[in-house]
Amino acid sequence: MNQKIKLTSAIFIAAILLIQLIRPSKNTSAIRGGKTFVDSFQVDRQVDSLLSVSCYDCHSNNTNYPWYSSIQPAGWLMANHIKDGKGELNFDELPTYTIRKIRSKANQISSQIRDEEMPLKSYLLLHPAARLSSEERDILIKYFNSLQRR
Amino acid sequence: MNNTILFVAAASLSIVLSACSSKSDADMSKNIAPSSIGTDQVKDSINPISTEENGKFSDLFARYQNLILALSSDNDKEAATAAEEILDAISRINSDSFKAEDRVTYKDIASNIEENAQHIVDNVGNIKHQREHLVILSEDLYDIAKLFGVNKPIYKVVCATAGKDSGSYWLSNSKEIKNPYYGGKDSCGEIQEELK
Repeated sequence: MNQKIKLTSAIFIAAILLIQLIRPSKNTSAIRGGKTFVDSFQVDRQVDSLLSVSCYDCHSNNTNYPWYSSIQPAGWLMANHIKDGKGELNFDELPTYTIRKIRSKANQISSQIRDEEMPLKSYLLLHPAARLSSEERDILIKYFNSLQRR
Repeated sequence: MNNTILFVAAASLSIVLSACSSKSDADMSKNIAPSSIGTDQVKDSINPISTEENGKFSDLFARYQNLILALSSDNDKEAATAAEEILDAISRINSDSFKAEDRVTYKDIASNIEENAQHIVDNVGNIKHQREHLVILSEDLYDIAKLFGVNKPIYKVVCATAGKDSGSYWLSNSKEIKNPYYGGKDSCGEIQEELK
């Protein structure tokens, strides 16, 4: 019986070690996340810094990875989140869209922030600094509303 | 004893393997997708789209009206069904005969409609979110009506307190006000324009 437990845990540990070898590719770029967006829309610094802390990790080409992202399966989960996030919205691609699509995205961003759907609750649990105060939400909503009137 | 070892080994191996192959599995299932060709053909034979230029959009507008009806009666499931039909209508509009300039505009509008309609499909249980996407969807259909004309009169109905800070509108085929943003029997809405 004792041997059985030993063997089971040995296999379990081996599996954990083995999965560490499968590392998802990282979402990083030589250009700062959001820079393309900030430059082409002349976004003011306050808006940019709020987006940096709360949004760019999943919505730009550059993620600021925490230490535990190197441990699987945390890294896999994170890679999935980023893939989904960028699929919905990538600030670094926003400047390449048509005016209609930019307006549509800006409208969605405003609503998501206003309804406190974004940043995601699960993300806030691990990144408490990303939480937006009601004043900060207003700044972003005002900015993205102005983007809809361009 | 031997069985236990085998089981654990198989289990841990399958964890590793499934992690490796999960991506390609998802990609493959996308490719084989539910037999969409078959259902399309069936739908085509039941509900043929008019080949006339101004009739190209009549299906789209009819299905948009279903969406308005669903949201104004607080029905998130029917809203998703209507949005799915909007996607279907868009997929069957052939823009080859449009003037080059119109085609570019149309394709821009169509891809925007697809994105917003897809969100409505995906958000059964979150009618608030479905309504947020109606704002943009209505603007896109308004632009289509302006660009290509309509074969039945359509009213642009504005509600100053809905959606955006500046208010939002929807398109209605009747003068009766049924607000899709608030639902129930809300009477917010004023006819601002008649498109014909």
